[in-house]
Amino acid sequence: MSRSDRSRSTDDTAALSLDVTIDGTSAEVSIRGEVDLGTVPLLDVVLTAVIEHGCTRVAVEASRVEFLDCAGLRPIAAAANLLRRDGGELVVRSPARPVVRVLELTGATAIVPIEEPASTVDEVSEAMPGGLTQMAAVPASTDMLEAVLDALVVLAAATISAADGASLTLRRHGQLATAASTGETFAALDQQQYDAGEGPCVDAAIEGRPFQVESAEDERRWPAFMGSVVDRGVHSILSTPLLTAMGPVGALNLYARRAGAFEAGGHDVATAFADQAATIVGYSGAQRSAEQVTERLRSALEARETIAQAQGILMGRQEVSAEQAYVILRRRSQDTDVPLIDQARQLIADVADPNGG
Amino acid sequence: MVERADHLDRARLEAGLSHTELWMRYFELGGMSSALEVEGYLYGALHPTAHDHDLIAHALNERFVELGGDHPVAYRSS
Repeated sequence: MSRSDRSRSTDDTAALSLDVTIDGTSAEVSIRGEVDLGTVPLLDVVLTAVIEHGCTRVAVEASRVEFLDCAGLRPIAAAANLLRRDGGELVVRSPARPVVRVLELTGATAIVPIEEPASTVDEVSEAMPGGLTQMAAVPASTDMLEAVLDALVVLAAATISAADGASLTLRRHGQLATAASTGETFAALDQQQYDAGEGPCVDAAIEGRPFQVESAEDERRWPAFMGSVVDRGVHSILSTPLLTAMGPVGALNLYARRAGAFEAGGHDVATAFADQAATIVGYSGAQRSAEQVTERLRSALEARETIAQAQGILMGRQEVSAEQAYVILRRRSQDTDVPLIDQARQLIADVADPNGG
Repeated sequence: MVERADHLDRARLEAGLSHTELWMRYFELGGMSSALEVEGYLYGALHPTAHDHDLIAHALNERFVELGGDHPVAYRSS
């Protein structure tokens, strides 16, 4: 059975958007916009997913690339090497000038050949009876993490043919929430589980094990939640945990309208997507901590500056050394229980406005 | 008075500060030694200058005050 759903983002303000067409073992990843350090993770996720799906011939359609530097080349070259190792290939199709320039400058055309075909989509559909089997368009977003997770659920649902929809549950600040979903129905089913405090996605996200509903009508677990599942026309659920070194951080949830949809398979691919999501979430979590550390260091440098100024004032007034000035500040702090930095600020403020309160 | 070499580290543990957090507070107070050196001071493996010792002591004491206590850590240059 062939299926072709197509949705494409028409947001012109987005930096990067990708269209993915998968037909058997061939895939075309069409890039529009700018590929730089900020948007590269999206391209990386998509190429990895396409390869893990089993595609051996991947074309990166690059006629609408506005910007691509060496950072953007990296995931393309990595994908090319990976494919070639297993007897496949990656080509760059109809590259725009920025892409040609980078490929030539870096000599990457040796591993990433350029292809200028006469026709693309028609050739592919003629090769496979029944036309295109899957298409997924990745919506662009100004928030990189959001964009990457959106891409991930769309690809997971497209890649796992048994699934009609997918969603990503993340645990943030001790609470479960849906970070991305391919449709309102699935986000709503997630929410019902959070509200009920039970369900396969809740259990997977907390216990770090996969949970599967083979037939919603016959499922005895999670009675508070199951009723709404059948009401929404869903009969199979597969929730795969996102596992990190610090335990489970969420779950990738697959939903299907027919019962027994995930019996025959999909678990390995679901695990592959869940692992990828966990890596992405872990990476972005580390980024946020790095921001916090940076902020702390910045304010520490300000504090040191302030204390040095206060020392300078005391050195001038009382003709003492820097170290002696420091002891003065420290003793004031000791005697009043007011932190040293606040003593320093007060001293500076008094100098600036001696008649102040 | 015989001081245990690791008296600063025991105070750190009582104050509930990690090595990193203590170094950060020492740094905020104007400390110039690296995190590794400060760790050495805490264990008694390296000998700090009186200034550095008192900076660490003050960082610890400010923390104890935050917790509602007193200044249990003695300074070298009182």
